[in-house]
Amino acid sequence: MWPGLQAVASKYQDKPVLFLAVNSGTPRFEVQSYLKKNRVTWPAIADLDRSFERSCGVPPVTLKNIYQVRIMKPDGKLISSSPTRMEQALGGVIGAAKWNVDPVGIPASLKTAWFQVEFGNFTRAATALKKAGKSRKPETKQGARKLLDYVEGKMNKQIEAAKAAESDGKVWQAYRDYSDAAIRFKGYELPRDITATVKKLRTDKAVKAELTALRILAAARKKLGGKSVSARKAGFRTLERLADKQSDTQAGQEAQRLIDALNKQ
Amino acid sequence: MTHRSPIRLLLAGGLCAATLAAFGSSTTIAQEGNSATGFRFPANPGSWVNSQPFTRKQLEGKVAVMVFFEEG
Repeated sequence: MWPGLQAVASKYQDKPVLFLAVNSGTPRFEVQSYLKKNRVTWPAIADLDRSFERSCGVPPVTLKNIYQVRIMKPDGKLISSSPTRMEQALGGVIGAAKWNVDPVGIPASLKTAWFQVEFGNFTRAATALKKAGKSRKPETKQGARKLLDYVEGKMNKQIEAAKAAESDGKVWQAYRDYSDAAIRFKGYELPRDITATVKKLRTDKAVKAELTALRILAAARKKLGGKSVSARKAGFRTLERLADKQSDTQAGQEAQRLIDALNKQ
Repeated sequence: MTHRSPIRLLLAGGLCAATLAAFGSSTTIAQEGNSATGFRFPANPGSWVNSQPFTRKQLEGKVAVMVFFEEG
């Protein structure tokens, strides 16, 4: 089955489509070994508890029902398909998909950087783009400029959003946007004052409360992942306290969602 | 507000681990919420092979073909 699926994928290699393999109910190391044996290099999800399978509305995949296909359209909606009808279904939706940066004119030497930029892994592309930007070859320099323009546009948009949140007194949102920008766009020309701004916002009372709650949540999760029953009990109690006492924080709300999910198990 | 500790959670660490994995890391600040269609890619890098985790946001405007399979 895999050679056929991979043949379809190779037909679409220049199109804005990502092929993903999802294995249900098998530990990661076994999935890794299976993919290697079958020479499948697609990104893959080891869906051990089948939660991803359920969330996509896929009936349990079993040895009697080995393959199921779901296609996420450019608008984010899922459609059902099967390995035999996959190519036809794909042909019906690919026309609406688009690249963020048109690969036309991107030289082969920048294809990896382009792919990283295309899928939002900006930091990984930073060094290559910086180097290519100084190249003597006009096509390399132009390709790098095209990609840098896109990344800088995204970066500036996020920083503007952070500034607007800060002006509106939404300090936690501003702190998140600035901090996230500092991580996502590391290696690019970030505003020089961003570190100082993040440092200043970190002293704000609301931000301090949110960060404290996040630390408590992290500790609760660590205990919940513990080997002993008493550790897991303690972790659950910590979650309860966090959801009760710090319900106005992002971590408090996350704790409540986690409690609800655990209670459903 | 009170909650009852789930008994199975206390007996089976695997259930706990699976739920935590599905929720991703609490130490990062989540920027991606559930979308209208309700599914979210696992945020935990330990659930991915051949790749770092993808998010729905990264795939905006693109097509993703997901082949669910059982080890044959």
